[in-house]
Amino acid sequence: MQANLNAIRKEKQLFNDFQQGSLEMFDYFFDKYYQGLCVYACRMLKSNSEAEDLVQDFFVRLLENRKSIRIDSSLKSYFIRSIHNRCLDYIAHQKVINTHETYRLRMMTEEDFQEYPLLDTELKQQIDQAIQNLPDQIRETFILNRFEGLSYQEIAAKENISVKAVEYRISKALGILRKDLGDYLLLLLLFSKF
Amino acid sequence: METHEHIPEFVVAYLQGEATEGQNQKAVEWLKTPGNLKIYRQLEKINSLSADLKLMKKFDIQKGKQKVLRKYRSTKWIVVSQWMQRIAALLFIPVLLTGIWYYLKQDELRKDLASLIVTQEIVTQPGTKTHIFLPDSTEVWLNASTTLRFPSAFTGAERRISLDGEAYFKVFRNKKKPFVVNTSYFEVEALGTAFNLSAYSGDLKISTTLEEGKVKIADQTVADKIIYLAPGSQLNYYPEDQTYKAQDVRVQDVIAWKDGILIFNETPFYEVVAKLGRWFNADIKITDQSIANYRFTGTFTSESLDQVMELLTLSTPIGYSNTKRKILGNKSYSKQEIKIWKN
Repeated sequence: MQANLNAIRKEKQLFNDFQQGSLEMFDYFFDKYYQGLCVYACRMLKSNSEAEDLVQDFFVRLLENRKSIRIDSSLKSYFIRSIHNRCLDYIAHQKVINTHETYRLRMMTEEDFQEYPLLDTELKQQIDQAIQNLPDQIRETFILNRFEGLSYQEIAAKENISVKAVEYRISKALGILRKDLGDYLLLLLLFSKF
Repeated sequence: METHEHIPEFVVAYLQGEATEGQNQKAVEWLKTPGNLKIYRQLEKINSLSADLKLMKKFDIQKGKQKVLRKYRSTKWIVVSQWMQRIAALLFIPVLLTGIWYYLKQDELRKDLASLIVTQEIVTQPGTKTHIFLPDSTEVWLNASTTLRFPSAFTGAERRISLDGEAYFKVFRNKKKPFVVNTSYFEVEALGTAFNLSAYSGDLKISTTLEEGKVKIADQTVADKIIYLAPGSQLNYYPEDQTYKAQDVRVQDVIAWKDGILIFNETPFYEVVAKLGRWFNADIKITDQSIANYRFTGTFTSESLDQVMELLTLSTPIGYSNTKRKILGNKSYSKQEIKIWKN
């Protein structure tokens, strides 16, 4: 937790530099948060391109107003809060009638934003690393299923194995990942609403 | 050390939504066992995290950044230009105020000027012509022996000048301020027109010739005497019997004098003599009144008075005598004197 606090403090220092006019710092923040924020917006808006436009717009405004912005929370939660609110605005404008979902999104608290997992680069790396560490065949099957979106049947045909074998490999992969990511998963499950 | 707990396949199939009927039932049973729900939630999390990771790779950081920077730069320019507009608007205020001040000042100056208006007089000597512009940009050609009086500024409701002699006017168009020429007998009112006015006070005939536009002639002695003239026509007034007579003429011939050409077209001899006298600064007298109404037709451009007289004797039965000019006491020359008689 101490390390986490230090990281937050360091990031705030960097943001300060960015506010003073350093455009390299903009690169730093953009590279670090862009994709994660896009995913977040995408989960709310259910559209890749709209999510991307919205996040880009946010960064344009961030550049324009960087001198006058004051951030009290961590940068991560500031970013997510901003994107979240923009998405709500967007949804309200689109008059998307999905009252329950909208209500749930509106009720999200500061803590919810705090713990949105994928903006934590450390966790992202951890997951990537854990997947890399899977035994080759299992990893391949897992990737085909989770990242390429192939069904068990399709994987079986492609890899020339039985559906049973696919099932086995996926189970194995999840087992290993659960073990490797154990601590993180516990933490995430405490907060995450996604 | 336990490497990892094996997750039953039916649980995974259930999680992925690929379970068969049988697997579904097994999974539901399995979830009832204490601790398994926690495992299931973790698996769900791994699922959603990996889905997020997959989605994440679809967003291109570099392309996104380029778009953002491009947008930022263009909006920055919009902001800058908005500022420029504001600054320009602010700068415009003093300009506007100065403009208003000058306008008011000018109005004041105009009033001052009104009290300073003087009448100017332009006189052409016999044998000379001149070309001037009036304060309203009206262009005037003055023939020999002519006097034109006009104010140094036209301030009233009309532009009034007075003429004794002959002049050709190209009146500057201003419908709100009629242009009025006073002669000894009547006044000619014009808006934007070109006209010739021959009004020598001693002449037997006063001619108004309209080239273009419209003029109104108002007799000062007869209040309701108003005549409108059409282009190409000439109105002649005969002071002796106070009559008006209109006729169509070749306007170019009438105004040719301003270009140094004298054109006579069936012109009575007394008129020819008067014109030549003014033109050449000579004193030409007809000794026998019976020749005064002879008619003469001819065009003179660069001939000398002697040459013109010779030409006259060729076409009309007249003789003439010419006295040499004498040097007067004040070192100027006397007018040339010519006497004409019937042959």
